[in-house]
Amino acid sequence: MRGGRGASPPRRGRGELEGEVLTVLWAADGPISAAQVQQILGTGLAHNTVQTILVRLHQKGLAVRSPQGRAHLYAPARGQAESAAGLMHDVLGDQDHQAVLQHFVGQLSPEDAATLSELLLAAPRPTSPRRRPSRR
Amino acid sequence: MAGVGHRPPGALEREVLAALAVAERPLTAAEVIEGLQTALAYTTVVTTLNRLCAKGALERSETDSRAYAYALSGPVDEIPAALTARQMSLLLDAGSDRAAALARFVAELRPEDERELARLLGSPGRRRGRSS
Repeated sequence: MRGGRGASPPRRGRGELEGEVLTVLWAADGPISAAQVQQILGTGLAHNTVQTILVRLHQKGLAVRSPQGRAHLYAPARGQAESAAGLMHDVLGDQDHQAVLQHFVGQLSPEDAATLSELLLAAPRPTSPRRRPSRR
Repeated sequence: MAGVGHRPPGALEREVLAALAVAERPLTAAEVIEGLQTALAYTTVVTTLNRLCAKGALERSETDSRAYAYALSGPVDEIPAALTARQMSLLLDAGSDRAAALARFVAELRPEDERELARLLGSPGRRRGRSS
């Protein structure tokens, strides 16, 4: 049916699932198996899919794993902020950045918006030396 | 066409969204099933519909028959961007230090994205709660 019905339904990128799985790891009390991740996600994902995502998170350095019988247990690597930011960029990927950012800003709490504004004002801009966004 | 268990993740969501986009009116789960080309269990479709609601891609309303009707929450071509933004927000929510995650996110932004964010944040109506 893809593309054949006049609609352009969204694609779900890898980053989205990686984010969901990483979120599960963050919330877990300790290292957990792919089967446990699958159970917690509860979204009908195949075990193989969950397994693949965990391996990818491990390869990216976002998760650590330890052998458990014939399988592995997974835990998040240190640096939640770095992992979250990295995956935020991953899901942004090659989508229409302008459109996504517009929705993203629309979803921000006032506190997060203020934080982000301050960060943008403070950020060094090597390629485009602007002072600050003009306010009218 | 019954082997549903191992379709690629997200494929069902795309099919459901496409069915709703084509319908151009709110559909119940049963109507969505009729619009799909594959035979799917009712509970599978309801689960997918509710998942899309949770992601903000769909809105649901109660019908006379007490079944829910589901509709796209916005223009179909805006849904991918909305879903991505939602995912970014969830990642932000999931971490323990939002400010640190935002700082890292900003540090890795392309200059043009940085400008765009600054513009969006500086626009009227998005400035409440600012501390300066």
